[in-house]
Amino acid sequence: MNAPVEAFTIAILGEGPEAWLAALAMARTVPVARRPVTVLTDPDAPVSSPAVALHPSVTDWHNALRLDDATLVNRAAGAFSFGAALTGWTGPEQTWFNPFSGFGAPIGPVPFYPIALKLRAAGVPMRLSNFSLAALAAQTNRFQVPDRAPGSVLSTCRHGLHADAHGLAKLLRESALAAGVVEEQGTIRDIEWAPDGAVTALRLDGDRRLEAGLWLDASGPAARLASRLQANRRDDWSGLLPCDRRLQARVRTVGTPPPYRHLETMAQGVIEHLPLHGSTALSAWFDASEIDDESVHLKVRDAAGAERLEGLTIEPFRPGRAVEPWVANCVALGEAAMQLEPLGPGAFHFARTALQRLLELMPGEGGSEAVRTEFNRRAAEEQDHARDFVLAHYRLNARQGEPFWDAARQGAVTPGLAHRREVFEARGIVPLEDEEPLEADAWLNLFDEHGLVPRHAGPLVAGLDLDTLAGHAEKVRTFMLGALRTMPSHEDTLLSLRVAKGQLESTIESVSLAPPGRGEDRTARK
Amino acid sequence: MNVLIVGGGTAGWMSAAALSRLLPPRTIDITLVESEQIGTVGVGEATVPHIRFFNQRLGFDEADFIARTGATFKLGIEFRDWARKGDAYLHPFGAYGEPLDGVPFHQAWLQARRLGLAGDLPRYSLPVRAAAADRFRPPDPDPEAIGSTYSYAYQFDALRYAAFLRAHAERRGVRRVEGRITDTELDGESGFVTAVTLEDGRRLEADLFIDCSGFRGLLIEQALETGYENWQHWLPCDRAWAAPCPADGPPPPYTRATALEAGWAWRIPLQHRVGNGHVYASDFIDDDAAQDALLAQMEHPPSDAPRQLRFVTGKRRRQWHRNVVAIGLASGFLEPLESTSIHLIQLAIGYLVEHFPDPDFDPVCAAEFNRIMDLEYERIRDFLVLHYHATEREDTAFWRHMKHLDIPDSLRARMALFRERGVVTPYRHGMFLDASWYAVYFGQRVTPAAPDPAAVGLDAERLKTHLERLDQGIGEAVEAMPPHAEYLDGLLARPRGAAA
Repeated sequence: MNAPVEAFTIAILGEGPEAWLAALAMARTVPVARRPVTVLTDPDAPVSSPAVALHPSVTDWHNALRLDDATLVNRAAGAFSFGAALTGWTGPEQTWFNPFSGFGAPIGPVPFYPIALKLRAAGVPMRLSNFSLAALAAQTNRFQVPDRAPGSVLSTCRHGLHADAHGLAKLLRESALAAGVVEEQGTIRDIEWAPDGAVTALRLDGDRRLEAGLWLDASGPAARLASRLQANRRDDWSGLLPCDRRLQARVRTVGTPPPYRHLETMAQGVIEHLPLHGSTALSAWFDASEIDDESVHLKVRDAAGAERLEGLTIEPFRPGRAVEPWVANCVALGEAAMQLEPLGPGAFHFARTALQRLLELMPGEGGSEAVRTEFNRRAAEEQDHARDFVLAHYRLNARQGEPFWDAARQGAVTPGLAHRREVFEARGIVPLEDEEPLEADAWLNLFDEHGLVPRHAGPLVAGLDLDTLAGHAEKVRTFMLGALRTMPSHEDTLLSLRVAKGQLESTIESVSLAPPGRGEDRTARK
Repeated sequence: MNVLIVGGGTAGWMSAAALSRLLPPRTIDITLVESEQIGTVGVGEATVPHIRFFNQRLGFDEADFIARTGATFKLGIEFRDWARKGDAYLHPFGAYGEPLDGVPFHQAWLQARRLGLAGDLPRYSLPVRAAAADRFRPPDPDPEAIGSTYSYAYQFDALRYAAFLRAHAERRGVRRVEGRITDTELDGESGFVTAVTLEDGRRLEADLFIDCSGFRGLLIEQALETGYENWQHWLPCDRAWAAPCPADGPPPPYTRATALEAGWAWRIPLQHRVGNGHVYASDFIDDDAAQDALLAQMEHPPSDAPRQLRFVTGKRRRQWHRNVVAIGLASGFLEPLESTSIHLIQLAIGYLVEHFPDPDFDPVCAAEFNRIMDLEYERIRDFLVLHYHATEREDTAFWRHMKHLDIPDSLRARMALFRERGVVTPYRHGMFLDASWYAVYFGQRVTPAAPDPAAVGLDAERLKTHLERLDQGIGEAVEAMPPHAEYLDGLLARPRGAAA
């Protein structure tokens, strides 16, 4: 290659929000005049998921992308989220709440969990989510964007967002095009390889050719390019996780969406309700050997309380990950790299962390061997932890007498999950490693709600008497209830962010709304 | 629960002071047994900034601590002659520069240097320039101020620190027993240590034993035969000569580590003297020559006869085995090149509190403690090996050996990543942060092939302004700092705060 390596071009495959997020992130990091970015969209690609859940870590990234909550609320039917409600996992009709943020407050060096354990052992009912402002707010349909003022109760919360996938993709696309990204439409006919196994160009329909130095495959489970790279082996999790089919649809709704998503169990799988403004996106994961598509369709429809589902798709679902998401000069992102039920963060979150990792490890003139190895090592660690979190929900489930759930309780446990459970059961703490997709409190709450009981609460709480502990818990709760009373409803918060159409134009960057024709954008920019 | 700490010294008294402070008073009864006949490895001790948090948690007043331990302030370690003879760099307690448009500083600097816009990297570190000017003042509490961009540690007399800690621990109810241990009793079934017997026949029972007996590991090794993981093939230095001498001028605010023919020499400035030592590999130099090499580079003749120390670099296979937790030199040995010994003690105490045994001694707690301590040990080991391996020196057999060493895979991958793209992967457990790795890499001529493409995309004019602003800001901040000796004198002259 004669051109300086940092000047190589980037091509991104995909049409959903992951692809456009990738394009925007790349264009915001290095000017496109120096490193052109092309997004190759395929008009024949299957429709992607109807909605995406933006984890708090995604909203943390907004500044870098010059996005904000208000724009997402206005442009992508956005609704806020404080976490997930889970029904049927810990027992019939039982619901528990896992917020994005933690619980209670420590007493000096004594964390809240041992305090809760000791009070509970003395007969005081202690549910962790009753000591989370985010969980209390979610239950009462209140929402306020958390501040960062140290010492404020609101700063203990973290928030995510649900967004319409189409609206989000459109918004990201407009920003990306405005930043100089070029869109090409086309279907891959053939791949041109370099002798070292790198992809040098794609041959497209209509005798067109697309060259790039680095390829990002964000084309979803089809992995249009990544699946063609020989070395792209897959770590298959179908022996661990039982669901092998996914339904996706949406229903229209009226009224304010609840500020959380809902994950409920059914006899042969899981249903997710992801509320948006004006609609709810529904997904179901199930075991096709236990239930047929039509029955799942009816169950989801009933669960949604709707007469009919819109945009219904049912497709195979293959839990697992690419052993090496980055092979040669092709990096798989999102569902092209991993399929996993989003009992924790979802595919959009993992596309985001992969992009952040890629930006940190972007190859320079020194080559790409070490950065690729490091990218794959970190991705594997993160994704295995994410899988373990999902697996824990199944292995610890309390639905008795149903073949799907009885089997899910008994399957194998990974060493990573076994280790976390072991340390939790000994001490009520959760060990964390380097690439963790979840905070320790998310694990604590999961284990706690599923009925695991630590044998010992640790030495520090032993020095505090019950009156002190009860007084502390009461104070924390009073403090949170006080903050809850002054918190606006989710509806009011959304209304305050919704702006009239005229004002809206000034809140987002001026964008070219030219149709995504080829060549025109390129010429226009010069 | 009854806890018996075996051995005084820094490890023993840090453990006694911390456990008596951190654990609830009515739940634990601590005894420390030590013998005045057994010496401790009490050389001048250089530390890392974490020691301040240890002292704070124990409620120590800084001025009081400084006065009682002969301490000086420390902004980093100066390494001389490591990559090449004649080279010198400071590993500072603080990051270089500030990121620009989200691009890490060292990447922006690499790009600026290619464009001919940058000075040497150390120019952009406040602690490096303050150390070079022998100036010191605690960091500015305002996180926006350039004067907040560093941390600091101490250099102190370890024997005096042990005495300081002892006074504190005894006030908090720790019982000290004078005596020499001659026998250890094990439970026939569990293999747990049940008691130790002293020379005079007294018997001390406990539930938990903390072995701070030094290299020999009286309980962890001699009684429990836990086993030792030898790392000498990576870190071959196995002996040291140590000797104090009077200071030549006021103490600088840093420790010095000078590479010699078959090892390296430390210089630790205290208020009242200078601690000197020579760490060497006996396969490459004999004892007499090593002693001569130490004396030859000291500024004054020794005020005490040189003492020899022998050690085996590595760690116990398990730092916590049955009901014995090894802390300090009983747990393993890593040469003091990066002042890590006291920090390892501090880490072990912290993780012990977190995983403190319940009456049933849940083995999971020990396993988790060992897992984390192993990570800490291995990662410090890699960092130390880097100092020796990242060299161009081939002037002696020792340096040729180190330059061509078969290094640990974990370090090899880290170095490859840095050489290729200048990236340091952060650890969750691992005391040295990315700034430390950058300092040693750049200080020892390990340079990335190219900067981050995002840095290459930065506007040259903005880059230039950013560097000039930093350079000037640091220069002004250093100018405003008092000389180290003056700051120290002022602190010592101040009326003491309430003793802890």
